[in-house]
Amino acid sequence: MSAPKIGVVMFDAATDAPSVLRAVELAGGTPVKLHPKTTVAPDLADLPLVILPGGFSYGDYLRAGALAATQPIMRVLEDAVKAQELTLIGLGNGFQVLTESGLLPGGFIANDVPVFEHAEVDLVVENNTTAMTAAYDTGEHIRLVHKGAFTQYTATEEELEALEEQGNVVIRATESPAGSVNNIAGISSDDGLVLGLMASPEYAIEAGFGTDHAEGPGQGVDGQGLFVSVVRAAIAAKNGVVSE
Amino acid sequence: MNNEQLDTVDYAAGTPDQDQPWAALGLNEQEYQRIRRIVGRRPTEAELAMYSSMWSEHTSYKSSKVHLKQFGQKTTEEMQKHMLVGLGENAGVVDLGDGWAVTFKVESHNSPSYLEPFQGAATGIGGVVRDIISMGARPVAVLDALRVGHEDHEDTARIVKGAVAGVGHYGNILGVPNIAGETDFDPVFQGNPLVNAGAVGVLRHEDLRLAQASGAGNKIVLFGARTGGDGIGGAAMSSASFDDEGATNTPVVQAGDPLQENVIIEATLELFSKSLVEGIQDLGAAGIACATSELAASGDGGMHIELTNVLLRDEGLSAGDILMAESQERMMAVVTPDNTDAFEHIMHNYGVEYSWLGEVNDSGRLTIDWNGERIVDVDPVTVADDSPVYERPYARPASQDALQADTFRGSAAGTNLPSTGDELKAAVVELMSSVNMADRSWISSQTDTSVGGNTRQGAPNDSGVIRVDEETGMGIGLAIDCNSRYVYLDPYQGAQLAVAESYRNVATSGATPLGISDGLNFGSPENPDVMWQFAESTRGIADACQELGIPVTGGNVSLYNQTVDTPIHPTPMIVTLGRYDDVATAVPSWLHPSFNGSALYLLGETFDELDGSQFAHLRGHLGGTPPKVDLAQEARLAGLLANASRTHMLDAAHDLSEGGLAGALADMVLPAGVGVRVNLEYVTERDNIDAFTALFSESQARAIVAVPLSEEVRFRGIAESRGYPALRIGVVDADSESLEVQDLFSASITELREGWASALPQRFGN
Repeated sequence: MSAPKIGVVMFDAATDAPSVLRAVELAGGTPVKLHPKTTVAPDLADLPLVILPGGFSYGDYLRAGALAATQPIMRVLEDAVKAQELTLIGLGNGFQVLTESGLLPGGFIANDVPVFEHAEVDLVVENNTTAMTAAYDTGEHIRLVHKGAFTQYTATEEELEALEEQGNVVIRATESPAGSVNNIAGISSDDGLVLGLMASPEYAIEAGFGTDHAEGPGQGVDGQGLFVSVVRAAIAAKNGVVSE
Repeated sequence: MNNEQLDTVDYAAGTPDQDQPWAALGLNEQEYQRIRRIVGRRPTEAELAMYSSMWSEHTSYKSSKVHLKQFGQKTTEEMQKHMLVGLGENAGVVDLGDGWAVTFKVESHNSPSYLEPFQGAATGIGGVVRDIISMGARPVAVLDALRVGHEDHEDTARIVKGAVAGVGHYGNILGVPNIAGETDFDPVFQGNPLVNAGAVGVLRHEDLRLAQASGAGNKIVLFGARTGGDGIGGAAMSSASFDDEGATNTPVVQAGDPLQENVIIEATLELFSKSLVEGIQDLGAAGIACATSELAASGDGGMHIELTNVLLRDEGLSAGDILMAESQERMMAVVTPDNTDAFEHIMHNYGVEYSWLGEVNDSGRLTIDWNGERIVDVDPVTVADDSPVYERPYARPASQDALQADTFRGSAAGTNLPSTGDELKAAVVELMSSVNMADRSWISSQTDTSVGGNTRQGAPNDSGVIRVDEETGMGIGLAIDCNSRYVYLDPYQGAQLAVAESYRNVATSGATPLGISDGLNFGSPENPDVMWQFAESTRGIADACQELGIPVTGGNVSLYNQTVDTPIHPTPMIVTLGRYDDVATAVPSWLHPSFNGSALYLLGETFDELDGSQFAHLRGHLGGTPPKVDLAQEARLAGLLANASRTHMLDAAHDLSEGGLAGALADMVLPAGVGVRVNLEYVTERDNIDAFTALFSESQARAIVAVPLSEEVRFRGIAESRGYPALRIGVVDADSESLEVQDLFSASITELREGWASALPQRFGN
């Protein structure tokens, strides 16, 4: 089978995009760059899954993710999700774009310590039935890069209750570097078609260039599982298997 | 041009006696008269603006040139063999093999960073990155070096917090990882902090372009941000010192827009890859005045510009303002008429604004029109290259003898030194809690080290390591260093020590050093004491590079760094670039838990060298002579380390510099909290020193390496065959959770970490 195509939206200053493209490729997918000004659905015709990469889309000017959320392609992606034709995953800044777009509940505010922080974060996969976690075990501990200045997740009490009750908190930090409520790191929409993760798995995919690991500095490649999950989900969707 | 009469060339010719603000523009009387002689009349306002900016110290190097020449003169053919482009271009270019090349540069942004630390530091990164992209290279890493005042002075937090956040902000949004840096606190920098920013870029040989305008008929285009009133007179400001009331001139500090630059990088690199530009230059100090005159002077010598075509952010700007404005994120390119459509297409794709300003001709003149009237008509070479060159008087200060005679051991501060185990332990804890030795993660965590996915290692390692070629793993290592106190005590030797430390840092991380770039920060060249420091330092750097066999590939000079009459400590920052066949062989400088059980070897000899040391600084003493430099020994150490790391004999390696053996051991232990047990007996016996000296002396050409037990025999073998002193001083003992010096003391990691981890965030955290 040919490598499934995975869309990656190239917002201006989405600085993590090059690494996401590489991560998709290493996981066996074929990354397809999508221009944020795209207004036509045909570009998405054979793309069952699109990633909004992290970084500083549009310099984080105004608010993190706010300007990216207003780009024309977001309306196209939203329509495809509503038509149950697309799985949309936001990583880091991409997650902020999803909350700014109203596609996921909650929002992001300044970190507890209100400066940009680059750190490694220990996470636990709590739900392995999603398009971004299927290759992990439930309860699996993973270590990824976490970075940003506005990465503290927050939500209303009702939203939190719903997230927790539906099992939509997919990945949780053991201790959120930003002070996120309930240590939430990754969440899912009820239908599983929209997923967000406040972390950068694309920097834990190659031994020697990854996160800290028992075997040595930079040997951690826990981010691979996320991209393998994504590629599997894309294959399944292409074969007509409904995404879980 | 505030008066209603536009100061045209014709008008100037008819009004020879009109008063001109040459002094306010930073020129002296002789320089003004020289301009009049060159132009053959009084210069127009626009011409005067151009000459004053281009002849400023910052742009023209008029006081430093005579000393910088030796960098070229002392570069042998052998040293040149990896150089594709040498001194004089925006940045030197070094061959990496397999068609790859690398370019790197460090630049100062000191005075803007004092006035507005966040924007000053941010645009420092932005400016040096544009230097890199104008060579056709993709920026792959940035680095920074900061010198700030006393940690507890009321103004220091403003500078540190602003500069650190600014460096981070700009580089983070550019998406270029920050992989190396250093920060030092000293009261001498209180009113004149240093913010030096460095960048490194990689390119394929075929993409190399130089900044020159050749080919009559080719078009000149300005693209990127619009021109506003930012930083007018910035080049002149950077060439004056701060007085009690702040800057002597008070221009607007330029503001950066990293989002704009991020887009410009991609657009510019596409122009290069499609061969759509003949020459390209970034706009920095002195803006359009600098770019047009430099491009014209290095090309065929003629250019015509219609200045009204410049896209403005502020329509009220005068022609002189437009020529001098230092608005950021602008580039100027030379494009053949055939390529203008393709050029415009790329600009449209990236949403980058541009305007065609004029064209190259063979007139030998740079002419600039404003609304059809000629306001500049000059020989561009006289603007760009014919600034006055000064042989400033210099002399060893009378006070230098007394300074050198005031040794640490002979001073009151040097009495009652720690000697018992408890005293030595307390001294190590105090040293590591001091701001100059404490944990830097409060700084480094504000920058994105991962972005790009090619970072093999960043802070807190001796050097940052970046992969260049994904196929082969070939890559580079970079370190930036300067111990200003050493240079103050002895500028010649101190500058050599800066080269030695930077070189050694790259070598301990396992790379083979290829070249250096320098950022020379000094006081006023009009002060003979300072000029002596400058002359001695440049001689030291040139001699050190010649002996080590690595060229100076480029650099930057920043003078007039002083408050009232007090100059800063002379600070020649040295960036060394090294190469790896495969960055997989890079060696970290801290101990990872997986290194448990490895043996620790001390390489090199320890002498009684405490003058200018961190320990002396801790005791408030600065005097004597810095540690002796032995470049032949440094080269041997580098060779040994390169061999051992390439053949996988080392788990970790850390150079010994500030804080000596005590500082190095703590640096290795603290990041991951992995303990060690060491014994100093062999060191004190062999080198005939006491335990205090063994721990705190800052003798050079030393390193500690962690060698897995399986490699010990091999490692001892190569150290012996190369005749390099190596002593097994202990082992990595992860379970001990302490730094134990046998028979003297054991400091738990918890007690060491407390002050070390909190020193910076406690003072500057939010």
